[in-house]
Amino acid sequence: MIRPEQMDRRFVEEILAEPGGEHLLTCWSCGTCAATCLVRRFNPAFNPRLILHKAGLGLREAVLSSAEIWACSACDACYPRCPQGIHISDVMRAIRNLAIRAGYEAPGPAAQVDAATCSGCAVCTRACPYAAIERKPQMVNGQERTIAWVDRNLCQACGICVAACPSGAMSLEAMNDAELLTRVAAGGWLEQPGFLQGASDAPRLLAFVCQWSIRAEEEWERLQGLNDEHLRVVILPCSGRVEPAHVLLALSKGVDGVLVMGCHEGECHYQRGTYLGRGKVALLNEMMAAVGLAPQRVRFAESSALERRAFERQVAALREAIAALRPAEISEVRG
Amino acid sequence: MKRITIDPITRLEGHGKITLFLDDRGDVANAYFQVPEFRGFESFCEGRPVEEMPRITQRICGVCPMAHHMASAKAGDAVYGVEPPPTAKKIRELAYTAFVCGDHATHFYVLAGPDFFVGPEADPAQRNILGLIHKVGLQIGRRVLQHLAESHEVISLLGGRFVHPVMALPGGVAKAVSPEMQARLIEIGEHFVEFGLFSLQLWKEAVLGDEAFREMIFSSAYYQRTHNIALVDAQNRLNFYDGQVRVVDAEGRPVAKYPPSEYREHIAERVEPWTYVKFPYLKRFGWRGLVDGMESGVYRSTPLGRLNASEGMATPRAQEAYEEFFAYMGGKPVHATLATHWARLVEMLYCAERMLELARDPEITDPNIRTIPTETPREGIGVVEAPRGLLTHHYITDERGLLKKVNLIVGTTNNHAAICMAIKSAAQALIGGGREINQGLLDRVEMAFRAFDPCFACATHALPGEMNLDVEVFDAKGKRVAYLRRAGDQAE
Amino acid sequence: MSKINLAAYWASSCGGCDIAIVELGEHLLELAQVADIVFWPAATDFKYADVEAMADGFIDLTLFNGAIRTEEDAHIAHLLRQKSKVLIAFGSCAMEGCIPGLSNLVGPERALRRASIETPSTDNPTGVLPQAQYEMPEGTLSLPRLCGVLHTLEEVVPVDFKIPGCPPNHDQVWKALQAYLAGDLPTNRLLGVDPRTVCDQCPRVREGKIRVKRFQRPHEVIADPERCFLEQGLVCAGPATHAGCGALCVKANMPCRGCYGPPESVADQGAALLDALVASFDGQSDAEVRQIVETIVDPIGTFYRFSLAHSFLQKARALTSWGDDPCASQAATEGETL
Repeated sequence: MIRPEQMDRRFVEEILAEPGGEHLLTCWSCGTCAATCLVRRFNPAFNPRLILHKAGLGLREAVLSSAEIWACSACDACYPRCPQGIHISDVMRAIRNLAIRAGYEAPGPAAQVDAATCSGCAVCTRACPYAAIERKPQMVNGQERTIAWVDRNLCQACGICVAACPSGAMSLEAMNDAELLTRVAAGGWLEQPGFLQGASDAPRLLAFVCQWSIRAEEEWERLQGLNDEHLRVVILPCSGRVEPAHVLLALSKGVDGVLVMGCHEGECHYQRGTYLGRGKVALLNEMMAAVGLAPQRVRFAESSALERRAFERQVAALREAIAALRPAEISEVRG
Repeated sequence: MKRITIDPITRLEGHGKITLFLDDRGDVANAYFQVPEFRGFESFCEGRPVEEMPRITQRICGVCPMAHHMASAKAGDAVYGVEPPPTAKKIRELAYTAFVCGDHATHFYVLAGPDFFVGPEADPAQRNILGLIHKVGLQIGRRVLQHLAESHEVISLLGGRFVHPVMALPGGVAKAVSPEMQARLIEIGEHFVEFGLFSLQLWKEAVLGDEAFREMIFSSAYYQRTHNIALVDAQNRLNFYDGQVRVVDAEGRPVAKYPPSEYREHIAERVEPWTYVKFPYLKRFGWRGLVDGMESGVYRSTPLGRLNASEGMATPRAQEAYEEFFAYMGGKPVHATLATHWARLVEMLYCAERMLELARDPEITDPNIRTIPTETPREGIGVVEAPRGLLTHHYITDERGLLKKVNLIVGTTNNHAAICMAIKSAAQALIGGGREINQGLLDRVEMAFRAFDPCFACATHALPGEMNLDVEVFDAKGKRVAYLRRAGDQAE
Repeated sequence: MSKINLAAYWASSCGGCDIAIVELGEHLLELAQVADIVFWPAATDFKYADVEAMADGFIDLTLFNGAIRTEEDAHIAHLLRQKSKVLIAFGSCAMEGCIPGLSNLVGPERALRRASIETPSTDNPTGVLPQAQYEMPEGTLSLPRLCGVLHTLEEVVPVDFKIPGCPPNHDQVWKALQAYLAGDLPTNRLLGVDPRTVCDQCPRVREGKIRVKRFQRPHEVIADPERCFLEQGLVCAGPATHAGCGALCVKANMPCRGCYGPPESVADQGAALLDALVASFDGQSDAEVRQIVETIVDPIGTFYRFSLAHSFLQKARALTSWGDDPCASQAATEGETL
């Protein structure tokens, strides 16, 4: 039960005064946002309606100390559906700013910079959808160098910077290159020859799947169950995390095809990841064609949490496309 | 037949082997020179952007990267129909002449020098740059190393680094010359001229002053009567950076002068199945096999060929050296292969003076060094005199400036037939008659090709794939087995 | 103290790595105090027969430059491995194939056909190409065959150390030689490098957070000499290239193209550069992203300019063979790790 002394009107006023928080009190608590929220599907503790409601009641301590206020990734799926037109991610941001000033910190995980390896090339600063990374002078092993610094309060753990970093200086818990590769290769899956080499009865596919492009929890489990000798599914935080090196490594080991599943245009949970995923696949396709590999073996497919069985359909389509490759296309000698 | 192989040949750029077949009397029945390397630049340059070609084609040769870089940049200018600003051209020519200064010195001292300063009879373990420095003393040795270092410095100042510099792109150069740089370039230019004069003096004292070497130079073992070509200016003076191609026949008569873009009218190539390098020859004379003389299309594009095919040098001290050379050697044209080393030093002096001239030019510090291309790219030919011979880059691109076809005729390739013949003639003259075949004798055979300063990485990049040419193919008995005529492809 | 025996060899090479050794200049005189050069075809007169006559391990240190393009290259690689205590892959060709590695885009047969005359309008049933064995009246002449693909040195023999660069910077070569002479050798087997990437040595200003709507080519624009190339929309391989050169090309106002190979712990340089470029795309739709991709001309020749022969892309292609490879490898190194 909430007691009156817990309700601090000044907290409400601080939020209203903070840029982004102006419309807090127009919220009806209808729950449409909570019903839409993609984060909530995977993290039921996160409830945007509840956070706004508690904030509106002035429950300073409860709101600022919660881990959940950091979980909103500003994908803005809720924004167009809010009947009051509240830009909810802006309100979240306002609340977070108050939390930072009060000495709270995002619980993480956040991307981490290996200071000894980082050259300060600034690629990550351009990659981050949240402008959470900057170049800052720091002391590293007794020498001052200007290298990347991640603001953990802004980091959404999308992993886009980990893929972008060309020197391996960026890492993210559970989503490092080594960890992803372990999942790809587990059980010797990469050591088996493929269909295009005449050694398997059906094309062997590797699928990198953006966690937001599929439906809810049950889909996750179902997908894991689809793993077999012809299919390996690896979940990514975002299709923008896909590593071209992993795709090429798989092809070099005889994997017949690679599917990269990401969100529809305009629906990327991290604002721009789906565009980066597409860009990478487009360039991979161009290079594959240049070297004489059939570019249709690597494909970007889009899907969303509202679609049923999109993954199976995409896998079947890619299998069909590869099975149809004529020998001339498999080993195209140029000229 | 008894077979002697010299494998690999040494103190040159690139791979090669010489196979001598001796008959029962121990005389050389035949000598074959083969180049066993091949990388295939022309095929994999297709699809590359034309502005990257100076940086890509220079990897054909790390001894003369500047030559490819420059020819490629000029071809890129032509592809876009863009004219670099005057200062950019001067910077290019300055860098280029400085490069030739260094490259010619590298050849004379590091590659060929040991033959003269250490000697063919010396222990092979000593016949190299370290042995040379030991022989001539540290003072001269350090002077040589300093000259090389300064030539490296000029290229590094203007193009970032000496091997595989990055200075040129279509429409100009990337880096301007500041007043501080100019002062240093003038200083180095003055050193270059002194070094050029010093090297000529050294040649006269140590080589011409040695009776045995004098004899070698004038000997028939190292003599070939071939035609000559050179890139010359309007007054028929040798120019390394730009000009027209002049052909002077084996008897010294000028027979043609054409713009480099017309090379296909004048040069054709022969295919042989026992080496990776082809044999260009002058079409007007035709191919008669590996023979010299007026009837044969074989020509030389070497310092000797260039001095023969030009009518003078455009700078004063070099002009004096040019006149002295011909006076001593008995008039034009000179066919003594070993005299090429001397001709190389005359060229080095010219390049030194020209480089200094350009460094002193007040326009050299003008900051306007780029013209942005505006035309649609199509086709272009760029030519320079590489240290080892005339270098032609011919590009055909699509409308985005990506290469569709690449044709290259590279310095040493021009001289391939002459090199084969020089080796055979030296082998046949020096070996046989019961003489003991020792390593010194074999080195004297190698000296025949060394005069050409060959670069076989260059010669084996690959040869033109699509140019308009006539090719005749003969079997080993001299019977013609095929005649190929290919119509060149043009851009639409 | 006795002198070490030093050798330098060029396989399929441009000679630039040998010139890098000549560029040591006065250091060559110092080197001569501690080393005898026992084989170096560019500059000395020792022949293959001299090497064959050496005892195994007679050569203390061999600097091997050039890629393995022909049977002869492979043969000499094995010979020098046998005769050398320490074998160094010297320069980009030996380490990762360098620019000649791009010939793996076309294969040896097409390259040879291209280099000889492409079939003209007249018919030429024999299609003359250079032959491995050819009969002359006096005897047989032989040429080494081309390998099925261009190989790196490590693909045919075990390699002890590597010195990257096209060519290695002569200052770095001297440092590497000194490290060897002092016995001060790194566990990661890379000599002649500085830590991190070219960006670490690049003097240009990086503001950060600047994205690119379209890439431009170096001749299309006069770039600001003080600012990062990538932030001006010009492709630069610096972020994906090992430091060691001192960012010489960038200081000469041209973008880096990656000749020092990938950063440490990065297996595929082209993939790393691709990642870095895509990260800076400023596209908010599929169409916009594709438009930006269009402005990157020749991705394969740009991302893999120096490293194609050593890339996963190459290995994927090699699964479909070019035919018999006369240089079939006997590499001791196992597999690829990231």
